[in-house]
Amino acid sequence: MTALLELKNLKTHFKRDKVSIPAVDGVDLTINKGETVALVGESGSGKSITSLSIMKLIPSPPGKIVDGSIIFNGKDLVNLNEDDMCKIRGNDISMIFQEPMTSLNPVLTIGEQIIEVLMYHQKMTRAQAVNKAVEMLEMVGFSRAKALINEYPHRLSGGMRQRVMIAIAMSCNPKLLIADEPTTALDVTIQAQILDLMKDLSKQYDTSILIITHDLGVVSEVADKVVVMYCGQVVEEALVDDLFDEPLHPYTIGLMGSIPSLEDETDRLQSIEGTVPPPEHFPTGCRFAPRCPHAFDRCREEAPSLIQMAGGRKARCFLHSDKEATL
Amino acid sequence: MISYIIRRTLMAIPLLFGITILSFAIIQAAPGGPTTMMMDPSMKPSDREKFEEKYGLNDPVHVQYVKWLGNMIKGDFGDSLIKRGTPVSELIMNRLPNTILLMGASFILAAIIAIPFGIYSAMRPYSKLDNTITVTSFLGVATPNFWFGLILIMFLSVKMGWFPTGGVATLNADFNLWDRIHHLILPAFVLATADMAALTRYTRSSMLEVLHQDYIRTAKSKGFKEKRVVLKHGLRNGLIPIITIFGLMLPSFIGGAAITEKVFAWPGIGQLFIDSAFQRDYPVIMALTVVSAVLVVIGNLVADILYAIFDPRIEY
Ligand SMILES: Nc1ncnc2c1ncn2[C@@H]1O[C@H](COP(=O)(O)OP(=O)(O)OP(=O)(O)O)[C@@H](O)[C@H]1O
Ligand code: SF4
Ligand SMILES: [Mg+2]
Repeated sequence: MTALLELKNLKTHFKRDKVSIPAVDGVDLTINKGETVALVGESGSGKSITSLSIMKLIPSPPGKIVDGSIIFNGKDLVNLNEDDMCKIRGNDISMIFQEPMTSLNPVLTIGEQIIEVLMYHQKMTRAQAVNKAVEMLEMVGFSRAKALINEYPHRLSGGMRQRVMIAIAMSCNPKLLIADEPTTALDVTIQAQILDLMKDLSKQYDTSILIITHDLGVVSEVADKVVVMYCGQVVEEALVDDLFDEPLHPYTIGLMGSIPSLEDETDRLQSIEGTVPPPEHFPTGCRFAPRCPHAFDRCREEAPSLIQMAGGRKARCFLHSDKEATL
Repeated sequence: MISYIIRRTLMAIPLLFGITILSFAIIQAAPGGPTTMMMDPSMKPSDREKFEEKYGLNDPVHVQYVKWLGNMIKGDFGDSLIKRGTPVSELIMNRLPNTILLMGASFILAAIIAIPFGIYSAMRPYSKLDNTITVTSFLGVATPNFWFGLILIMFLSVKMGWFPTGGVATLNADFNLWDRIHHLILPAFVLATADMAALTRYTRSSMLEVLHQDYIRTAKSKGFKEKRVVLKHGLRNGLIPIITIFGLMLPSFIGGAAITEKVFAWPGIGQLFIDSAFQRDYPVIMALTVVSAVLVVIGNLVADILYAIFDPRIEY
């Protein structure tokens, strides 16, 4: 398998009152061609900032990629200038967001919002782009795509708007689709439909997907590989089956414990004790130590590194330092 | 759409009616009357009484109002009390085009200067140019029109001789487009300043808000360059609230026009209004009140229609 995207030691920091806040602090992540990778972690762990860094859409100032590289298709995006980056965004890498209700422009027709991308990146004529837009809308499941072209977003429900977003994102046949919590704002049945659609499209077009989510149910549904983030760092990485069979990192185990189970409503709130510290207050030593039930003295003094293990698994925890694979 | 316009127009009628009652009451409440303010002081008391009798000035206020209203509905605003014998409608029609020219030019000037500056300020908030624009607009809002007008006349017209000191055209000369424009520049600019400044601020804050919206992030994620993101995806959304502001600014704009006309000896209805107010020329004041109220109502109607055209979410 060849890597499509490789993040190496990516650090994205924010400057606030002259202090550098490490929102993303040394992330390594690899996405292969056609693979779906899930990025999970609690709120504030740096998932969105990681994905916006890949798009080079970090609000700057105050944000800045301060170290590391983003190798996409052999090119390092970190050093790419804005003009070249514009050719990649929406064309080779596209993105859909959590808020389908507000992510479409209210004053432009749905058709226009697809057509403009096709004319811009694929240099299509308007007529060609209109045809392609209808085709894309049909592909994401609209039966009356021709009429929809001239309508405005406010007439559509959240689920339908997210389908439009997917149609826009997939219109240039991107190599990588980044989906930042694409189903969080939708109700359960619609969630399942949107996930199915993404799975189908990724298979059909061999598109890699980076899906960000809080929801381990979504992970088991779509992902090939899972990357768990905590406090701006990767704490565990594994193939989806391995992770659900045997989570290694105490944080992952904690997350699994907080999956809401439908049978037992009271279980819902049993999650990890405590909250994610903000980046300006990351603890020294293991960043999870204050909340970790297994923490011991070493954890509070020394920061564990991400340990490579047999079977391609990785974990950032002293409990597993004996399993380090000799490469 | 057509029925919406008709509905809005009908809704304006009671409003206009109310405005006439109020203005009539206010004018009558002001001390003095046409005979005390303007007439020849040596006029004999008996002549004065005759005059007051003839124009019904001694009738009770409500009788005067009903009489005035009845004539107004028939399209008759009466004659001026001061320039005796001249129909009010003639006075107004001679001057209205000048006012519309001045207001139109000012309005366009305000919009084409304020909107681009506002957009730039929103794109680069707290940059050097943004700060300069901010300070300048606060000065612009705070500067009274008449004072600014007098200063410009003093320096640019009297001292430097670059512009005429007033009027719409050189007296007794044939029509000459450049001459007209030359006369228009200073008053139009002075009238535009306050609204230009306010409009810059409104555009800035509206665009600043728009540029933080999710759909702007979407537009960026499509790979568009900044200019296209701002102008295609931001501007139309940012202008929607500005349209309403235009409508709301209209009354103060008319007030500003009156003062500017006075300063620049611009023979428009604003100048006429000020003179008539001092002279208690009731029929002229009332007619001008109706005309300005109608202008404001029309302006707001146009703003609402534009709003509906710009914002597809509005349903009639
Ligand atoms: N504009 C910003 N300025 C300063 N700090 C920021 C900014 N945006 C994000 N951060 C910091 O980066 C950290 C990570 O944010 P991020 O949005 O990546 O979290 P997330 O994992 O996506 O969370 P969520 O699940 O809530 O979306 C936050 O804790 C926040 O402190
Ligand atoms: S290193 Fe220590 S504190 Fe950190 S997760 Fe492992 S056991 Fe817990
Ligand atoms: Mg997020």
